[in-house]
Order: sequence, then structure tokens, then C-alpha cells
Amino acid sequence: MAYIGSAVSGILDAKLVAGKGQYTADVSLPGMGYMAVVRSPYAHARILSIDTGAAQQHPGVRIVATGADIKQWSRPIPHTLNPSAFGGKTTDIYCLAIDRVHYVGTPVAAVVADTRHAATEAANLIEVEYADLPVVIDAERALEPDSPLLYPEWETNELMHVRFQGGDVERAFADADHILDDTLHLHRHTATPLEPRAALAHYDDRAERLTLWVSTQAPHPLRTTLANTLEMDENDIQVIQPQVGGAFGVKIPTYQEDPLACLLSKRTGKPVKWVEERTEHLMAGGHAREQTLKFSVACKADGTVVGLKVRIIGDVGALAAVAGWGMSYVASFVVPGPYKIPNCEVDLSIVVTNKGPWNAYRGFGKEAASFLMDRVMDRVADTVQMDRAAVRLKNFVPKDEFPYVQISGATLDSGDYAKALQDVMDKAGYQSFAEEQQRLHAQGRYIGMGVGFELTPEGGCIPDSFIGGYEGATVRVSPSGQVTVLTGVTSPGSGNETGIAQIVADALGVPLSTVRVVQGDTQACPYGLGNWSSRSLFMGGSASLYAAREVHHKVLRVAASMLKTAPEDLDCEQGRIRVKGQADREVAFNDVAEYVHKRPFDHHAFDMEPGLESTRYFRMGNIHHVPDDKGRINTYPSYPYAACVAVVEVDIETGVVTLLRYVTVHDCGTVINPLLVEGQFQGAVAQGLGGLIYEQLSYDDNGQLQTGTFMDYTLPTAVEVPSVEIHHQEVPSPFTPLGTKGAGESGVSSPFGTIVSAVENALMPFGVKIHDTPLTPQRVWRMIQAAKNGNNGGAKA
Amino acid sequence: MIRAPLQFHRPHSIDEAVRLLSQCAQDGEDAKLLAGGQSLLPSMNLGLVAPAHIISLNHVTGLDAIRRDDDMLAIGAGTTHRSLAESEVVQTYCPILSETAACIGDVQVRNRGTLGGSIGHFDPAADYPPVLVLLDAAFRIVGPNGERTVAAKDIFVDYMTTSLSADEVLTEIRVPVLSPDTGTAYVKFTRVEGGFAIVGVGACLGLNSDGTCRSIRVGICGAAPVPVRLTAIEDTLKGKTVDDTFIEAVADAAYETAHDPVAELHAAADYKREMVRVFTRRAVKTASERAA
Repeated sequence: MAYIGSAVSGILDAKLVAGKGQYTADVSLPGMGYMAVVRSPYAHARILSIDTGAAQQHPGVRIVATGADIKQWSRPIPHTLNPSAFGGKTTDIYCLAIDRVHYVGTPVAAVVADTRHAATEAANLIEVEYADLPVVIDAERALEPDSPLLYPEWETNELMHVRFQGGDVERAFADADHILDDTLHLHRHTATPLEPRAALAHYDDRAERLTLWVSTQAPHPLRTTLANTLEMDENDIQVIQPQVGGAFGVKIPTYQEDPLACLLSKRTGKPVKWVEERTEHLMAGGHAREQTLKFSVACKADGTVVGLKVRIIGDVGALAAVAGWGMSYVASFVVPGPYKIPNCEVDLSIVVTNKGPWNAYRGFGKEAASFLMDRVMDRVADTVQMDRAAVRLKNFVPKDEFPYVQISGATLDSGDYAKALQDVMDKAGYQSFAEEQQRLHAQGRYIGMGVGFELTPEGGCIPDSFIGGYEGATVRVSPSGQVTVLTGVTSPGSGNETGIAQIVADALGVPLSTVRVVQGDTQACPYGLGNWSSRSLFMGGSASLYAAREVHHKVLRVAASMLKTAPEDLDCEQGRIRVKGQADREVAFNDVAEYVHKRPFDHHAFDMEPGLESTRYFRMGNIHHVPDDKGRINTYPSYPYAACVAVVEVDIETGVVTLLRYVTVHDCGTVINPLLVEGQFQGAVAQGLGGLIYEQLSYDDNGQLQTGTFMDYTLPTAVEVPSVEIHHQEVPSPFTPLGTKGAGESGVSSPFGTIVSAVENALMPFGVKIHDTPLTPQRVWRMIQAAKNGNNGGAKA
Repeated sequence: MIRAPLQFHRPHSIDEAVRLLSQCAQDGEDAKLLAGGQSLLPSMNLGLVAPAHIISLNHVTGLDAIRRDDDMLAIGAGTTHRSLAESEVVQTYCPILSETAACIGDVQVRNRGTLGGSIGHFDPAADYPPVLVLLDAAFRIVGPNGERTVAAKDIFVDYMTTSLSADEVLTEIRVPVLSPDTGTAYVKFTRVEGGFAIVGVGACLGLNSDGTCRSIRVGICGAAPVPVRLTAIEDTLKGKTVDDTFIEAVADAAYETAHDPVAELHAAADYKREMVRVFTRRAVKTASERAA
């Protein structure tokens, strides 16, 4: 175990930091053209006509396409998750809008020209005649019977209705000492990777093959989807993922622009490049988070929660093929999170509105569940006048009750929630904080401490989809002893290639520098499902481990024969294979590799299958897709978690919230590389903080996006994000060979509940109660003003 | 992405720049001066402006000079924010201008963006205008008919509009040398570090030997579409003891003046007006502490 657990620097770090990475936009081909997309300026309209005449005539233009062309040339894009498979409604999504637009930014036409500039100019010459349709941008309004309908054939705007129920909720409420109701609103925001979406499609009409370089998280599923949409053989498509400059979920699915670029390359016989602009990303790259969370909680006077009713209304924007709506489903699936509340019901309406479609974003609904449950616990604590942490400790699933099945079927794998929370309270000085708070309050400062807990189910596995609980990897040893690992998982810049190399280097007993990890090429790598849901290291790493062990077994057999001993008497470290306890009896790993390749008929390798290569698949053992007696299935195999404490200061004159400290105890099982885990957690907290306080996708009543550039869509800078104090609690997963759990996504959820709790704590003198996000200075200031005027119920901003 | 073709000019003198501007005006072609480009390029990238000509001032020699001229500082319009922030001369004789320059954008922006560029662009959230207004700065402008000097109160005309005409170039900004006992401060309210000012307040406070106010000047951005100077209090507060009541009187005057702030997505008019009061209070308080 030389590398596992050690803080090895990322094997690509030096290259990437020096600007030597190659991203999709860096890839160029001779004769390539550039694609520009014409997007709807209206939130809801019928397309009456599209005049492409002037654009066709524009110098340098190669092709202009509209929805009518696309419908002739291709099939609808298969939904990443089809809502109809969950009993919901659905609609066909083509690369371009057919007849009707449902949000500002809907792609309606495309141009390819010799230069990016000419393509943009020509796009501006396309005249689209629209007939306005009434707009609905509020989900609760959209549920009313007289609301405008996005998809009239549905006769409703409710995409899906889901209900989870367990225990005897009514009885629990009847027996409770207290019943509390509240309504929370999470606002719309999204992922903003440094590298926007990008694609370079090359249809070679001599070879009749398509190659797509694309900033994606899932090359193999993308290839399968493209084959379907473009009506091509999968064999004739190669998807290559160059380096990716951040993804955070938005690059999981097949976007309309991906097959669109491919189609236009096929039609023109030349490569087509498309690089998304930031404004396009903010309006059409996919949104997240916007949900109304209503709860009614029943508790005993001692803080025990005996019953919970939750109503979630997910405002998922227009429907796209990218499965973002699934985030609202997951939000309801995760309730009640880490708590043992057997009498519980969740009622979910997923609603379409005339806003940008949801797309996967780090958190994937778990942040909504986390925020909801943190608020539930805080309200209970305040009502029974108990400490907020103590109420959580009272209601956690005890450590000896795993695996624990929640009402949705979510089967929590392992953990010690109470210890994580107690540890983080110790690390953060929870018990002594009140003293410090009072001392500073005497100086006119408002400091607060909040506690929160996120449960972050990982490795999602949905029946009949490419969201699956398995992964593949190949380990190959060359004659010179160099190790290649080919994985089905990919890296969006998060560094899992380093973790995988560590696992393989340890399994083979070779230096890390001899291991090369190859990812993101459908022609080279075994079929795999890509990078999302923190699955790359715990699933891809496990498959790599299996393959490496198999190769190692062969190496040891040959080495044992050479050293005239048994394989189990050998140690392999740093490329030297030694007889245990006998330093002088050794053979080099490289020599064994050369022997296997060059002398397969010689006596040390004669009775063995030639080659030093293995492809193995790993599947999670705790996914259940056959419903149990209560009709439940388990779609997540891994349940990492984090207990958190935040310290904030509120400037009561301005409403500005400053995060001073963020402390966590985080369990992702066995830590392969603390640098990778901590880097991901730090970034996740930055995104959670950004989402809670700074970032907002805001629409006016006509469905116009008001935050279409980084001038208006505010992101926190390094100054606003403190260095997160991260501590590890390693409770190994019983379901992975190394005890690893999902790592990478954790940290994005807890800031919502933890920081909100801290702000309430800071504003205790005013009795402010927080229900809505974002916590912009204006909103916080208004809440303080309202509280001063005797209304502490929170104000709208 | 720059969306339209354009001609790029690189004059080596102000006269040449003025000639190019005049030529473009005569030809009816839209021209923009490039003086750092930290607002112009984003605007072009977004397609908000598409000038047919860009006239870069980067190669005009001497446009970035900072010199003391008697009781004035003469600052070349091409001086970058970074140079202003780090200039010992400015830090010594007009520290409020250095403090203002240091809080604009980030290091990359400050390395490129210039004083003249910011004034010419005149974003309502820009940090220099309120400070230049309170300093009674003078602006030297060269046009086809020669040079003229405009006072600060006359240059900032309306929302994103200055009194510079299309064929003129701003060459120099003159600000007074402040006496060493003057306390100054520029404070700004932003969502994030380096962001645009929701409200920005500059204050200059001189004290008499008995601690009373010798002079007070306050300039504010965010209170109205153009920078506001609190002229009304300049005389009435003279000779008054500088204490909390004094500071509150300035803050109240600022609040009264800010009756029509430009509302923003996350800062409605009433909130912004209240922030004018808060940040005026903070600016004057800091200036008074520094005036000792």
C-alpha cells in the first residue's frame, strides 16, 4: 500500500497548470467550418416561418439548417432519462426546435461558415417570424387549471407526480407534541465551468465514419445516442474527449448541439466546430435547483421527530432530453436523508415552465433534500428549545442499523453520523462559541455559528438507462513493463486519473510513474458510463483494481517460476519482485513483462495464457432494481456524508454575509488520495456558497433571462471563499473492494443548511427566520428591517 | 468574440489620433478610442458596440506621465489603474485617487485599464467620477480646433454620456495636491471583491487645529445616474466639531440627495438609497480617522 492513502500530486497538474492541456477548442482540422446557433428571443412562441435566404447568400456560408431540415435528416435525441419511464409525460426533442419554442435560448436554426465570424453574421441574417404564446414562469401558477400549457397535448404542466410513503404518518402526527409547518424556496442557478461546451465533428465521407471531439463527461453513452439520432452504426462513430475544463454535471448528457454539429459536418463533408459562448451557456446550457419545499413535521417534546410530510414542487423549466428533471426526483428520493423518521411521506410535482431546461448540476437534488432536512431539524430544535446539533444527534440513523432502508428505498450503506457531527463540533469549538459570540456582540458585531449535515448518495443507477452502477477498465502491461490503464470513466479535471493510477500502481507493485491512464476515447477504452455522481474512483477505480489484480496474478506466477518459489511467497514493490525475507532473490517486474511477451513458449510462461492484459467490470452489490415488498428500489449504492459547521459574520447595516470558517468531518470511506478529496470538497463548498449567496438565474415576467452574462450572474471569488477545514472519517463501504465511497460531489449541499443556520444564529437578536434563497445582501437587509418592525417571518426580496 | 470586421489604427501622437477621429466622423464611420479596453472589448464581444474603427492610444508617448505641477498633479489619461494605485507621487499628494484605483476590478484589469478610458466610457458604477468630482478635477481635451479644459462638474453629463465630442481625445486629468493633514477615503459596496460599485463614496476632510471641520467634500456614485457631490453640506458643516453627529449629518444629506438611484437586479432603489447613507457614513468616518 505505497500509494493508496497518500497525498500524491495530480499526475496531470504540472501540464495543466502550465497551459499545456488540450481542450476541444484547441483541436483544429484542415478545412473546418464554424457553427453558430440561432436561438429564440421569446420564452413561448410558435414559429410561423424562417427565412434563411440572406444567410444562404452570405459569403463563406456552407449550410443553413432549420427544424424542418433536421426532422428530415435525423431522429429525436433519446432522453438521457425518459420521464415516461417514470410514469411521466414526454416529448420528442430534435436538434432544433420544431414549430414551437418553450424558453429563451431554444435553438431554432444553425449556420456553418468558413469562419466563426461569418457564421455569426449569417446567423443574424436569419429571419424567424414568431407568434407569441402566453408565458408561465412560476411553477405553482403553472399547476393551476387555467395556466398556459407548454405542451398542450399533455393537458397539464405537471411532467411527473411522485409519491413516497412509509409508516403511519397520520398516527404519528396525532401523537405528536408539536407540529410545525414551513415553506422554503431554493432559487435557480447553475454550473459555470471555465470551459464552456464545445464540439468538433468530422464526418469523413470516404471512410463514412464520424469522429466527434467533444467536451463531455460520458463519451460511450454519447456515441450510442448519436448513432440513434443520426441513424448511423455505432461502429462508424468515434467519440473523443480531450481534456475537459470543468463539467459539474452539465456535460453528462447529449446536447442538441452535439448531433447538430455532426449532422452539419455530414451534410457539408467537412469538419464543423462549435464553441459555446457564456451567454448561450447561461440561457441554454441547463439550469438547476429551483424548488419549493414545503414541510410539516411532527415531534416529541424531547426533540424526537416522529413524522414528516414533505411536498416538493420542482420548477424544471422546459423539457429537454438532458434529464435535469431527475434532480427533483432525487431530492424526493433522499428525504429524510440521514435521519430515522419511519413515518414519512413525500409528494413531488415536477413542473415545466417557460424557462431554461434543467440539466444535471453537482448536488443533483441532494442539496435540496439536505437544505430541507437541515431546516426541519433547526425548526424542531428551536420549537422544543434544544440545541440544533443535539436534535440531529437524537434523530440520526444509529451506526448499528446499517444498511438502513429509507421510505423511498434508498439503502444507506454505512456510517457513523453522530460521531461525524460530534467530531466536527469539537474541531470547530461549537460548545465555547457562544462566549465568543457574546463578546463580539458587545462590540456591535453579529457572528453566528450554524450546523448542518449532508447525505450525498453517489453512483446513481437507474433501470433501463446509461445511468448505471457498473464500470469497466483494462490494465495492459507492455514488454518494457509500462502500464496502461484504459477506463470507461473519464475526468472533467477532477483528477481521478491520479487516484486510479495509485490503485493500479499499488496492485501491481510498480512505480506510479510507469502507469499511464487513458480515458475518454470510445475507440480505445472499454465501454463505460463516464464521469458523474462521484462514481469515477469508486467504480472505475474498483474495475481497474480487479483488472490489475488479474495481471498481477500472472506476473507473480511467472516470477515465482523464475525464483523457484510459490506466488504467495513473493512481494512486489516499486517494480522489484522479491522472495519474502530474502533480499537477494529478486526479479524485475519489467523483466517478467518482457519474458511473458517474448517467451510465451518458454517454461516459466508455458502453461499460461499469453499476454499481460485484463479487462474487468465491477458492479455495485447493493443496487436493487427488483422492487421489495413495499415496492421500493435502491438506485444509489454509496452514501457518503459530511457534518459541517459554519461561522459567519453579518453586516447588519448592509445585509452582507461573510463566511469566516467552514469546518467539516467528511466520510467518503477509504481515502485514496486526500489531496483529491480535499480539492473536490473545497471546490464544492465554493459552489454551494456561490449558490446560496451570489449566483442567480433570474427571469422577468415575460420569461426573459436577466442574468445572461457574468456581469449579472455573480460568482464568488477567492476572496469570498474561505479555506475549508476538512477532516476525514473513514468508515469503509462494505460494498467496494477498497472500502471507497463516492467522493467529489460532497460539500456542495451542506452550505445551504449550514450557512443559513449560522446566519439565523448571528441574527438571533432580531429573531430572523430564513426561508428563501439566495441570501443576497438586499434580502438579508430586508429580513433584518422586517424583524425590527416586528415581522420575523422573512421578507421577499 | 469580436463580431464585426474593423480597422485598427495605431497613432503615435494625440494630433494623429484626433485626425483619425475627425476622418472617421467625416466619413460617417463609427470609431472608438482604445485606452485599455477593459470595458470596450467586453462590449464588443457581447455585440453591444461594433465600431468600424479602433484607434489605439497605446502608442501615444507620454500619455501615461504623472507629474507634480505646482499645486496640482497632472496625470496622463493613459495612466493605468495599477500605476495610479502604486504611484508614490499620487499616494503622497492625492491618496484618495490611489485608494480608488486600487479597488477597481482585479490585477489584470488594473494592469490594462486606464484613467482616461474609464472617464471616457463613464459607466455609472465607475469609481473615479465621484472622486474626481469632489476633487474639482480639470480635464484637458484635445480636438480638431485645439485644446480646451473642462471642469469635473461639466464633464459628466448624463447616464454614460460625457461632454467629450466624437472627435476629441482626453489627454490629461489635473487634481489638486491635498495638504498632508487632509483625511481621505474611498469606500465601495460590491457583491464580490473587485466587482462594480453598487455604491461608491469618496470623502475628503480637512480639520482645523481645534478638531473642527476646515473643509469637507463628498462624492458619490450609485446615488443617481451621474456622480453626486454633496455641495450643500460643504459650507454648513464648516467649523462644526467632527463627531458622530457630524458624520450622521453628512450621511443624512447623502440619503436625501440619493432620491433617484438607478435600481439594479439585487439592489432596489430604496435599498440602494439606504446603502448610500451607510457608505457615506463609513467614508466620512474613515476620512476623519485619517485626518488626525
